[in-house]
Amino acid sequence: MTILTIAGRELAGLFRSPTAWVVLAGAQLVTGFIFLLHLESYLQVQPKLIGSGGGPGVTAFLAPRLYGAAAMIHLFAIPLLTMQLIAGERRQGTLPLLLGAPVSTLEIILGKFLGLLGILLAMVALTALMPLSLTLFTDLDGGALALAITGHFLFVTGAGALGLWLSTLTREPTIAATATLGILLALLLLGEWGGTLGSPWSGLLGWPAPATHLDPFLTGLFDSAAAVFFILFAGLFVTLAVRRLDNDRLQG
Amino acid sequence: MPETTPLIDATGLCRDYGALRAVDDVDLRLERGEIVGLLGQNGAGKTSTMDMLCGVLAPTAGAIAIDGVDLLESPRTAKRALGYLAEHPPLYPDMSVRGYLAFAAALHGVPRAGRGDASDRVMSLCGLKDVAHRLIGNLSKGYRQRVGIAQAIVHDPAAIVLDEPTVGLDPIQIRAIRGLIADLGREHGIILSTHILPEVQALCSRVAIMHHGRILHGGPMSAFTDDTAVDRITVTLRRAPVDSELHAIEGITGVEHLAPGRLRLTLDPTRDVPERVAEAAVHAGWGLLEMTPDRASLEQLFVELTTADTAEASA
Repeated sequence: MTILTIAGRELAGLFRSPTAWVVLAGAQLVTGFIFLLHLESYLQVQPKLIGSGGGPGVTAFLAPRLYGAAAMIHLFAIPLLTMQLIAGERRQGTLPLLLGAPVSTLEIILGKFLGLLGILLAMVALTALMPLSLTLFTDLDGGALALAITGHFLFVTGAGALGLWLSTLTREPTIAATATLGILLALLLLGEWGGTLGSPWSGLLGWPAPATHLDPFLTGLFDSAAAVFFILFAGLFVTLAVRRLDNDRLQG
Repeated sequence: MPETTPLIDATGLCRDYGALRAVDDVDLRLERGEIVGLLGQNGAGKTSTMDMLCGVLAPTAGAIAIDGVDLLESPRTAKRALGYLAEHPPLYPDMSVRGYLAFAAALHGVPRAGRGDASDRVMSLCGLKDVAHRLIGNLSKGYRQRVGIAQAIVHDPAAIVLDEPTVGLDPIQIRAIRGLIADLGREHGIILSTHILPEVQALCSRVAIMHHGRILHGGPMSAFTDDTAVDRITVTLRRAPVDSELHAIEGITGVEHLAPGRLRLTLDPTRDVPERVAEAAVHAGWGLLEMTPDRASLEQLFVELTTADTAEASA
């Protein structure tokens, strides 16, 4: 019950601040542009694909490209949405209100996380509108698209949980945002680097990167291990965030 | 007479920050209908103590019971009976006053149906009706402080803890807030921290003086306003006698020279010594110019307690 109260305030607060609107609009603009570029190139290669008899359909062609790009763009957008979660409360001096209320730290963090999921869901929905708009003109592979949307949502959920945790560590939202972006990029680059080293390094270094586990979703395969990865990834950082807030009470 | 459960009963509270012991073995009790002043210099440990009473900070050692419920064992039940205004009022600048108070009520477990009424009640109590729909970020400091107090009482808690509620306000606002606190103190129990001595004198029924994390004095305020127990007087004499003549007066236990002709006499408060001193002065022709009782003032006690310790430390 109180979880929903906190989540509701968080979501309303996010939408009251210009940051969320600017971030959503900016991400949508860039993603939209990339979507149009890929759509254009698909239209150019389509005659050849038909001539050669087969090749990927529009969903199989667009989904990995669009969602690969969206994941990169949202890597930059998510830290701006998560940075305020706890660091902002610290800075404003509003944390004592939550800590002094009959609410557990788990409820505080879950409320915050749920509020964040609200805005991340909006981001996922806005991105999904692009391929969905094609249903006006052509048939899409609904299953493959649903899988890509699910993967995208799991990806932003994981990245958001990381941002939430880092936001509990500091009272400066900018530090939280920079650290979140830094870690997400470092994980990504580590995976890329592992890829150049070949086996077994590619698997080892690529494993912690959320982007690695997004790929199967984009190629139309449901990889339960990848889904579990995202749930564990998010769970780990939510747990760390709870512990950090508990520590606040203990260490002051 | 059945013993009533104190609203707040803290025993042996300690709080360490690394090697620094900020709060050291503090015992604090709050009864219903009482306003307790927690007095101390900046850094005396007042805020840490209050944070612990409200569950914002975990004590290193000690126990806290709120209305008979252990705060550390069942924080959820205990905190419902508590309202806390932290040193910096925990306000969201992007919320309206009414929306914020409804949120605070929800956090403290006020059922959905009662939240609007609860907000309206505290808004009229704290004089916030005119600004109900304004954003907190646009309010003046005085109004924000009142929103802070409103937030602390919106769920009608039995015990209210206010950390420096009048700091940074102008004299008119201070009067208004003090009036509000005095009204609240009749039905609830209030612990109030401050470093403003007149505030304690104006509001509190009991005072606890804190210094370096310890409570050095705890007692009712009536000790400072009682006229009957005068144990020291200051006299100014045109022709001061030798000390032995003064000691000869029954009931005088000490003589201290403050300035030529100005003496502080320590007396046995149970006898009418001032009267006898006046008689003696007239008979012996000492030329009595002035005689005033040295009532133990809160300020005197505060300065004595807090500076004696500092002098000791620097010695």
